[in-house]
Amino acid sequence: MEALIIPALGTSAVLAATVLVLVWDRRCRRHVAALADLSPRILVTGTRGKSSTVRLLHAVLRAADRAPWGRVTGTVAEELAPTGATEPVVRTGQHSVLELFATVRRARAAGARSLVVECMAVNPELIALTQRGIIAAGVALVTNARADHLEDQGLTPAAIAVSNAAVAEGARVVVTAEHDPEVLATLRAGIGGYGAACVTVHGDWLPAAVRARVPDEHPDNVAAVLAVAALLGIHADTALEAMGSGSHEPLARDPVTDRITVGTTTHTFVNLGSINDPESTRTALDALDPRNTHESPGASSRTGARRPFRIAIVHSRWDRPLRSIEFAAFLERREFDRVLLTGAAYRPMRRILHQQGFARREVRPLRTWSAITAGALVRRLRRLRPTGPDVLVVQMANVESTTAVRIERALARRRSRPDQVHP
Amino acid sequence: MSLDVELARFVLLVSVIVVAVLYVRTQRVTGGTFTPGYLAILLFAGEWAVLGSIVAFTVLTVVVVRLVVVRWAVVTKPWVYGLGVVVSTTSHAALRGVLQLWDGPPVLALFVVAGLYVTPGIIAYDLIHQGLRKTTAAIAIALAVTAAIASPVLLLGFAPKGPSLSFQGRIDPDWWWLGVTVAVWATLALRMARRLATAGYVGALFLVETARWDTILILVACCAAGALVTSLVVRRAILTPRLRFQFAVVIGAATAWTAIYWGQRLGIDGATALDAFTIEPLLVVGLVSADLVRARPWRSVVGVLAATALIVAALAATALPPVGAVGGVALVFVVILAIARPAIVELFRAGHAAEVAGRAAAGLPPRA
Repeated sequence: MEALIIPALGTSAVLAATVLVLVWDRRCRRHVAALADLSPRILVTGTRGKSSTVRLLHAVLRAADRAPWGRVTGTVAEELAPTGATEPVVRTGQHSVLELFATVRRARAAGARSLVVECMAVNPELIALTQRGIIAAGVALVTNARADHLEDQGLTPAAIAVSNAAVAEGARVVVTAEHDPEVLATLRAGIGGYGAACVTVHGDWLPAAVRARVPDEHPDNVAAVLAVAALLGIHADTALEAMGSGSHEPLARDPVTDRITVGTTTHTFVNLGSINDPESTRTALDALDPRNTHESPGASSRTGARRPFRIAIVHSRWDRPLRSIEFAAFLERREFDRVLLTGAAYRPMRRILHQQGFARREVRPLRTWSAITAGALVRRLRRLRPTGPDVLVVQMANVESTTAVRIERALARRRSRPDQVHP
Repeated sequence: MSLDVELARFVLLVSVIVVAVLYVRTQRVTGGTFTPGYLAILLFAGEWAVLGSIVAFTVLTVVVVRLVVVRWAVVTKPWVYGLGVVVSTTSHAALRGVLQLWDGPPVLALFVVAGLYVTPGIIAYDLIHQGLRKTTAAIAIALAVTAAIASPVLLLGFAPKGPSLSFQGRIDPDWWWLGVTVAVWATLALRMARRLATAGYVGALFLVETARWDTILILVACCAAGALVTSLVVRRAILTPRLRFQFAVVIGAATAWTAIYWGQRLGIDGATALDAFTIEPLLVVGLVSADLVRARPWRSVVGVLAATALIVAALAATALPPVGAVGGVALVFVVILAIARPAIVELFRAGHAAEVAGRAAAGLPPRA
């Protein structure tokens, strides 16, 4: 009897390993079979504008009666049903492209007939796997290639374009709204290397009448969606009509999250959302406060508006240290009066900020070991000795930042308190 | 330690299967693919002090990485992972090196020693990456399921009567802490700077420990078979890099155990000698299989040989008089740093490129 124990244990363990492999293989084959019911399939990648583009495409496909299932992974991860309803993606573990298996399952269960997915991978190997193995999209879309995810995609926009070109593997057509001639040439070459055709669009090429029909959306996104619609045989009028009714990214409409007045000073809190690269942050800041950017706090501009005292709160993710360095190099002393740093890469960022002209006392850490209150946050801001009646607090946050989430929660709690009047 | 070798291998193989299933179902990671199995073996063996040490060194590593490494330097994810293992190993090695001046060398089986040094670093990385709640829950689930499957074998008295866990390696127990420290530093340098594969952090150490041609031949055959089967699976199924690693580990470990069992039945000495290393052969074959599928085979061969050479050089230096020993070991670390230099330079370049990109977006010229 004892002589049989070892072979029995060994055989059962080896059998279990074999079953595991076979079950996974079967699951993969079922997934591939399920994809056949979802056509067209569109995969969207790039640095900026992925989520908005997916939402627009979803709206267009809906209007064209293609019963689309959508998935975005931007500021929030959620799925868009063919009815237009949104469902949050519940994650039990790490972010993984394996989640897309469940997305396809849910799409089929909901009776969807087409699929539009934001590529959640940034690593070129995973982008290729997502396209080749998991989505197998006929049409892919690269919104643009900017200096973000440097750790995974490369240190220059051209290198990032090469990385994004992996989405062309197995696709027929790739649409891109990249403008930079050098980056675009690299991207086209990369896409061509996979045997896919490349369609280039530009928001500026849209007629004014077309732009006027979708004023809230980025023209590049509109142009890219119109190009995809044309490829799918959907009329531009239908597409433009649908784009106006599409869902929007949280914070995409009004970045001002709260105003708190203490004494004669009003603190305006602004969250730029999932702004991940300085170029996009520049655009967002300009849109937010175009007034006399480089004047002293309180000074009047030609329009008569006063320039607020600006405090930047930069939330750094431990796994995106190069992004943190980018932001530190981006922040100018003449534009911001104080900087609060949270999270990783504190010392390297502080060093760069000092080189940018910030004094030691103007760059401080913001540590939150546990939940904070709006009052405590304002007290922390007042310790920075702001001047003037208006303080603009600009959060450059990311969904992954614990401190950013705590600050947002604190402000949300304050808003929900019925006994406090919203200033 | 009276745990049977075969039962330890069974627990390890079950645990890596459980870990793979858990990841497929929930995308949760367990502080290293081998961690739940390793912890289960310690649990069955009643090694409470070792378990406590793992918790203590994990906490220490998390604190050092979160409050020092990622705050003071620009380090990308692979560096954070590697530095976590280096911190846990080096801090433990330093403590062990000091303590044994009074206590003498630790009497622990090889797998316990290697795992004790490296495991806290890997758990710490997942705690940082995935979060405390998710990681501890994943470890607890994998550990509980593994224990639930293995316990009946023990409780019903079906425990096989093979050799019990023992330590018969070639490295002097006095210098184990040095060997494992060099192995970990060398692995980090070879991986980051030369993109070489080294069979995990302790694969080369195992090669030094065994140092028998017949044993190594068996292991090479197992690795080749494991890699072959894994590459067949990779061609058919959709596997992310992590899943590919986990499948390679499962297939490699199953191949190794099967080969060792049949090798012993056929009376091959090299297979019998592997009993001295308990779960280490399963672990190393799994890791090498994963390396072979991921990268070109020469990268594995060169990586393992280079790491082995550095370990052997450091251990050989300890046979010299004190001044020579210190100088020899220091020289080994200088060589490791020289190997790592291009990766460190690359990290600084990346930081500079990020700074240039940020300044360009602000409309500022690059800093001189």
